[in-house]
Order: sequence, then C-alpha cells, then structure tokens
Amino acid sequence: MSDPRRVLLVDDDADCRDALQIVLEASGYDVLSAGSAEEALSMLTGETVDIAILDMMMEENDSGAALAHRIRRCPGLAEVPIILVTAVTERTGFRVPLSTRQEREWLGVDAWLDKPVSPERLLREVERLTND
Amino acid sequence: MTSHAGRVIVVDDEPRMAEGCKRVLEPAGYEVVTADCGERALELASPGAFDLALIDLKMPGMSGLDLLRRLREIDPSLVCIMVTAYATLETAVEATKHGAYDYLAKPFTPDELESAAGKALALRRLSVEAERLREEAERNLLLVADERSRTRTIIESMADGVMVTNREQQLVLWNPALLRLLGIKDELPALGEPPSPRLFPAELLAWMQAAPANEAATRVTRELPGGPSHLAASIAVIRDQAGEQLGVVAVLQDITELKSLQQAMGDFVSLVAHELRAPLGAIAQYLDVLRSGITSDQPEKEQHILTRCRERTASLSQLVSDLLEFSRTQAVTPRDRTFTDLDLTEVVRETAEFMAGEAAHCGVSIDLDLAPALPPVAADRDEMARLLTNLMSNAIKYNREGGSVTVSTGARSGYVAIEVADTGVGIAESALPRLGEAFFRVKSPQTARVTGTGLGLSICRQIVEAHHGHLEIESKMGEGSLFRVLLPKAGAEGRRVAAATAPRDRER
Repeated sequence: MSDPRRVLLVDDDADCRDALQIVLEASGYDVLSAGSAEEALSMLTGETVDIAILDMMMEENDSGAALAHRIRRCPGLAEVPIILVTAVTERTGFRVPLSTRQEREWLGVDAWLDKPVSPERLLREVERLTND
Repeated sequence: MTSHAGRVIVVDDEPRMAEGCKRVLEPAGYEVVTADCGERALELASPGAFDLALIDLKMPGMSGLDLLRRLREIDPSLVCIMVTAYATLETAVEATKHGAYDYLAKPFTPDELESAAGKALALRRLSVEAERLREEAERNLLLVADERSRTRTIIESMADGVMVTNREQQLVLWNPALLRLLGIKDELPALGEPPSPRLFPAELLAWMQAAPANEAATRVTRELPGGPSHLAASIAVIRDQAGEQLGVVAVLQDITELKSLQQAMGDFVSLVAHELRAPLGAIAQYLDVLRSGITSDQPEKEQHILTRCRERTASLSQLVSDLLEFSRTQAVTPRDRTFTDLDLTEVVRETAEFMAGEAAHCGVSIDLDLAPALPPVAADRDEMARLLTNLMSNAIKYNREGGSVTVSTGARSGYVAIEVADTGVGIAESALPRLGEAFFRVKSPQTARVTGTGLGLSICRQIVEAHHGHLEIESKMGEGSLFRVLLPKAGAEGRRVAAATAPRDRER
C-alpha cells in the first residue's frame, strides 16, 4: 500500500464524525469529513475516495441512503464501497435489516453499522471493503 | 274564612225587609250587612267580601238581575239568592240564568231564610274548596310543565350532543348540538323510529345497541372515528329506580382541541427525545473509542475526547434546565409573576457583569450604551434577567473572535427599548420567521460547534409576550444581528400600548 486509503465520512453531528475520524486516522486512513450531503458532494468534485461512511439519518431528511445513490452517480465513484451508520432509524420508525444480499443491493450499500459504532468493527469492515 | 257562619249582604229597598233578614241571620252566627239599593251594594262588594247575597228582584234604580250580574262579575263564586214578591217560574228561570243559586218568595219564614242561607253557604264553601283544589292542581301542573321545559331548554342549549333511545332502540330524543357534531344538515332524525344508519355513525349505533347487554359498563367513553371533528361518545344505560333498563343515552363531545393538544405534546416529546439522543449518541461514540484503546498512546486525543464529552454533558444539562424553564414559563400565569416598576438599567448592568466571563472566554467584548434616565417598566425582575441573559448569551455564542456585543437602552413612544446587537455571522432571512420556534436552531458551518438547545429564544419570546411587549429581529449575513425588545412603560401610557398587544395564543 503506497498511498493511504481515503475515507469519506459524513455525519451531521461533528462529535460523532470526530470520534470516527480519530479511529480511522489512528489506523492510517486519510479522512474527508463532511457535515452534510451538500458538503460531501462538493468535496467529491474532482476527488476520489476509496470508501464512504455515511450517517443514515441526518437533519433535514438528508438521509445517508439518498446520499449513497448520489455518490454512486459521481464520476469514478460508481463502484465505491459504502457503509451506512445509524441509530435505530428514528424517523421512519423501522429498522432495515441488511442481512440479505437483496436488501443490501436495494439500498446500494455494502455494510451497515449500528451507532455507537464499535471501533474494531468499523476498522474490520473498512479494511475488508477497501481490500476487495 | 273566619269563625262566623258567613258574611251576608242583604239588598232591599224596603228597610223593614232588610232589618228582618238581619234579625234572623245574625243570631245564627252570620255577619249581616244591608244595602238599600244596587249602587250601594256595589260600593260594598269586593272579591271575597261576602259569601252570600240576598237580592230583592224588584228595586228602583238598578234592577236585582243587573245587580246579580254585576256582583258575580266582581266575585264569581259569590252565592246569590233572589228575593221576590212576584215569584213566577219565569223570574226564577231568569234569575238562575244570571247565576242565582236560589230564590225566596216573599213572604218567607225565618226558617226558610235560614235554611236557604245554610244551603247556599254550604255550596259556597264547597265551591271555594273546589277552587282551591283546582288552583293547587294547576300550580302543580305548572311546576311539572316548567321542570320539563327547563330540562328541555338545558338539553337544547348543551354544547355536547345528546341522543336517547328507548328499550325498543327507537330514537326518542336528540338535541341540535348532536346534529351539528355529526354534520347532519339536510334532514332531521325521526323520533319513534330506530336511528337511521344514513345519519348516524355505525359505531355509535352499535355501541348504543350493545350497551344494555354489557352489565359491567354502565358508562363507556370512546372515540368516534371519522366525521368532521374528533368526537368522544359517552354511553350510559338509563335505568329506573328498580334497576329496570329504560333506554340508552349517548353524549357526544367535540375533542378536536384536546386531540390537537395531544398532538402538539407528542410532537414536543419527540423533538425533546431527538435533542437528547444526539448528544448521548456522541458521548457514547467517544466512550467506545476510548474503551477500544485506540487512543491509549495519544494522550492529547484522549484529552480532546474527554473535553468534548464533558461539553456535550454540559449541553445536556443546559437542555434539561432550558426545558424546565420553558415549561415553567409556559405554565406561569399572570398571577405568578411579580410585576414591579422596574428600572431595566440595573438589570442590564447586572446581566452584563454576569456574562463577562463567558464573553471573555469567547473573545467577545460587551459594550453598554445606556440611556441616562430610563422610564420604568412594569415587569417581573427574574424574567427580565432571564430574557437579557438569553439574548446576551446568544449574541456572545454566535459572534466571532474579537467581536462585540452592544446592549443599548432607550425610550420610545409608550415603550422602553432594549437592543442587543452582535457582530456575528448573521441570520439568513429565510430562517428569521422560524426564530423563537422551540428547538429551531440556525444551521451553518459557523454555528456547527456552538452548543445550544434551541429553546433560548422561544423562552425570550414567551417572556416578552407575557409582558405585552414585542421582540424584533434584524440581521445581515456576515455583519451581525440585532434583537430589540420593546416593553410597555409603567403607568397609563404603557397600559395603553400594552392593551393593543394581547399576548398571542401560545403555539405549543
């Protein structure tokens, strides 16, 4: 591995983002951190990332799932692995189990992590998905 | 009637005759008055004055028959006996036609007179008694009728809808409110028939039908689905004293307002839950990172994490205090507030002193521009301090490093004005109308790190409105914001402007 892997991290809570950034940077990842979908998309213009970690539920119905679809439409990012992070989906009131392949495909994400995210689990998933 | 046998008037133009009657009747216990003509008799007559009149049929002037008629007009139950020397069948019939009870032919014996008077007075007593009974019965009927119409009037005027069915489940009563609540417009429900399913909700009819069978529930209240408004139906079985079921009464209440209050409360609770979850989630995330040991060789990272955790718990505490304050301000009634004539200059100075530490921490200076003689306002001192603290705290938090907060006071027609101006990031015009909404916070990259609960300004707004004042906000992006509080001056002038500003209906 020559260049460090780049991770896009999107969460509207600055501290949640900060905590995960500490974890990822400690393992040598380069982190692009954004507080909203708009900020994330503007960061991605002319940039590429190796993986995106998105908060499922953000303010103003700015959902990680919707952002996932938009990221996939960015040039060069059609195949980028995406991890969705969520507390129990508070606004829809139901929790999407991402156990089956169809469900993952339906949402277009590769992994699903509960909040608070276990640092070990996060690193494991990021490593697995960026080494594919 | 007094103890004497009766009061008698004898009307005869022959004094000898009148005196004769008197001599016979007085010893028998009668009280006897004599009159020598009809006119004189009429002068003496009044309702209930006499029990019996003995009238000579043939008198000069007013005739006996005329007098008879006139006397009975005055007192319809007066018993009259006609006295005549020319007793013929015709005159007798004529007299009875005019309401005479009997007649005596002259000359008559004292016994005949006494017996006639006795019979007449017995009749008089009977008729008086009959009249009394009739009146009493009428009075009772009136009472009954009155009670009935009173109940009817009450039911007709009730705001709640009422409908009653009998044992045969036929509709026997409804009131106008029922039609209004159920939106029945084009036809009136027919009495004596089962309530039409076209007019009444099926659930309501089903509950009323089921009520008698349900021994346990003599009264149930349920929410009626659908319809123009939210309705609650209370259904009760009507029973007589023996416990026999007579029918079912349903009372319909409009609970639309209650429902919208419930809705507002539910919304508020979910907002609060959301506001609590965010800091708790962040703290939990930091703690998980610490626990993983990833940062164990980076003490400065650990310190950073602990500091952020501490700050988030502080914001949680602040949220809880603000919630308590918010609910207190909402629950406060005018009577709980202590209005005194207050010089706000002093409150502004104290608050500025109190906020100096926070300002210094943020690198913001506080400047005061106070009017030399500020007219007093009628206000609650604690709430004024709270109001100024919230406004100044916002001005400090949403400022820039090296910026300033200027608090100025002044008088305007009828009002005292306090302005809190900052040199901060400003508020987008689109966000201005939502300021003061509970939990609304302006989102921008510059404010992301500012902790706040989104309750401060809504508390300010509540306080200002409770004091019949105005809260005005001006802002320019990148230059700063100005919050202006206008409070009515104490005294007549202030009362006049305050009267024009009734506290707005609370939104929550």
